[in-house]
Amino acid sequence: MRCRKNQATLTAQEKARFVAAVLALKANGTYDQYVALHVNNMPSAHRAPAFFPWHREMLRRFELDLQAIDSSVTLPYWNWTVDNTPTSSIWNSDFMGGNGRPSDGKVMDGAFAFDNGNWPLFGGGFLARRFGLSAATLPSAMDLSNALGTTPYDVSPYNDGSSLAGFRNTLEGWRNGPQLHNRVHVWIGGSMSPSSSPNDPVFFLHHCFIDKCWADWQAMHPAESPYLPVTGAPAGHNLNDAMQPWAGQGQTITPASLVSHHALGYAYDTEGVCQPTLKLIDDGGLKPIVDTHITLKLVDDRPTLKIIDDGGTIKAVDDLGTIKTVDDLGGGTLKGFDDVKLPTFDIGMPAKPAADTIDPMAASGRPVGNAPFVLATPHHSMAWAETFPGAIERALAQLDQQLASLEAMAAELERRSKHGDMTDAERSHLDAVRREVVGIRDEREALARYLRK
Amino acid sequence: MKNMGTGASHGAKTHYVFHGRTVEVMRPSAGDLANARDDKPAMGMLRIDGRDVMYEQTDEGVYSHELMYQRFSTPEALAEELVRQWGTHLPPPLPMHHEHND
Repeated sequence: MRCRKNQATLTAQEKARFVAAVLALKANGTYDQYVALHVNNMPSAHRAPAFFPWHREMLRRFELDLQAIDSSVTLPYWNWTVDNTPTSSIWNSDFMGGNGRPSDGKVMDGAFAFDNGNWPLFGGGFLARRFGLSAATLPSAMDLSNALGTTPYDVSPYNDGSSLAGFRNTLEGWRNGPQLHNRVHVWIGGSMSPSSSPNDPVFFLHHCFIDKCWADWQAMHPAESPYLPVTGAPAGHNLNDAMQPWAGQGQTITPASLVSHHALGYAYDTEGVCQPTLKLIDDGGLKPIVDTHITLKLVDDRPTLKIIDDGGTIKAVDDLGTIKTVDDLGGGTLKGFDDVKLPTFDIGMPAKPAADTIDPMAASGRPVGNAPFVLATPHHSMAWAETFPGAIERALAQLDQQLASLEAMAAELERRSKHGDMTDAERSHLDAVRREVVGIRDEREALARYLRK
Repeated sequence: MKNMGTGASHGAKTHYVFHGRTVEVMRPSAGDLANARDDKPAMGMLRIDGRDVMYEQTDEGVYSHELMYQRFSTPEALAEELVRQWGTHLPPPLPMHHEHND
């Protein structure tokens, strides 16, 4: 699954690679075929239900062609409700270039400026833009929100009537238009105004956002048909009609085949499938973050960021009285908090929601949730312990359990060591376990001494 | 806008100057307009400084591939918007019927 990103989040390198791939498609003639495709198939693609699927097919083909040039590229989308001024970064010269000059709208900067020699338009002429000349503003977040709240997908007679209140007609922008999709074309003006609007590469970023809107609308209205109608619209616009021009080329591309963007192999960066998915998961193996006898790992297994131990309780700190931010295996003993010989957090108590999540306060050694305040010196911690009767006994019991577990692990590793079938990593692990056993014994002894006083 | 046309309804031809451009409007016939439907619009034509611009007209309004994301109330409104968008430039006609070859 490839993730399409908001253009505002692209790195300089990602922008450069996208621009380079677009220029390569222009140079080999492929780009202009997409302009021609749009010019010559207006009734198939606009003012009727297939507006969304027809453009989805066009954009997907374009994206695959870009990826044939540079496999790292995905189509970025432009959220014009947010990046909504002539000075938004999308218009910088390292990306789309800016507004046109006043006299004739000619764009003078960026890779797509005619005078830079790489961007002759399909049909002739130069890339032109006229920001705000015919529409003062881009659509607002409220405009979009209202459109996304509109149901059903489309309504009879499935055209561009001013009063036709389906989602498609609303988002395409014909209701009291120009609005939304149409308004963006009109606000940019120049080369984005005629049917050859793909001559401006921002067309693809705009329509990528339109495509995202269809996906978002489907997610917002799972009980609604994602596409209408099944019958009753002009040819090419019913759910299972083959769309032009692909039908004429022997390819059966129907709106039904385009309803699910995931099925086409892409998603949007706002979807869960595209979210960062780092977890801290204990599986007894590699790359410990805080290694005691168990071995916490940083593992990407989607879809949420968590710290998970293998005992079934999610924790951000251990409850052995030694809050650590750095493993003390391998000889080092860097810790985010003094290795006080007293519990500092949730000892013997069930895990609480507040203690079960990663919290920067916990990493800093400060208490989270309703855990007691942790004092920084043994003296004060002892005083704290006195206010929690039984805490030391519970800590001792836990240390005993942990010692037993560690010693069993050490015994198993030592057994394997004797058979000579240990890897270097496992030998290192055994050494670490041995050190941890010593450390916990010391801790246990310190607690026991205090209890005897 | 200085209207120098005849104002006739049947295939009427109007011409005037707008922002220094000579605009001619060749309207659809009254019969075509009366029979126009969404899937069969009446066809008219603008000529702006000699540059032809086709347009369609239905009871919803006036459309053109040259400004395809807007609907205009009259052909004159379409012509004047084109003049504003073009500025000092007269873009070449739209290249129609170039098939996409996948």
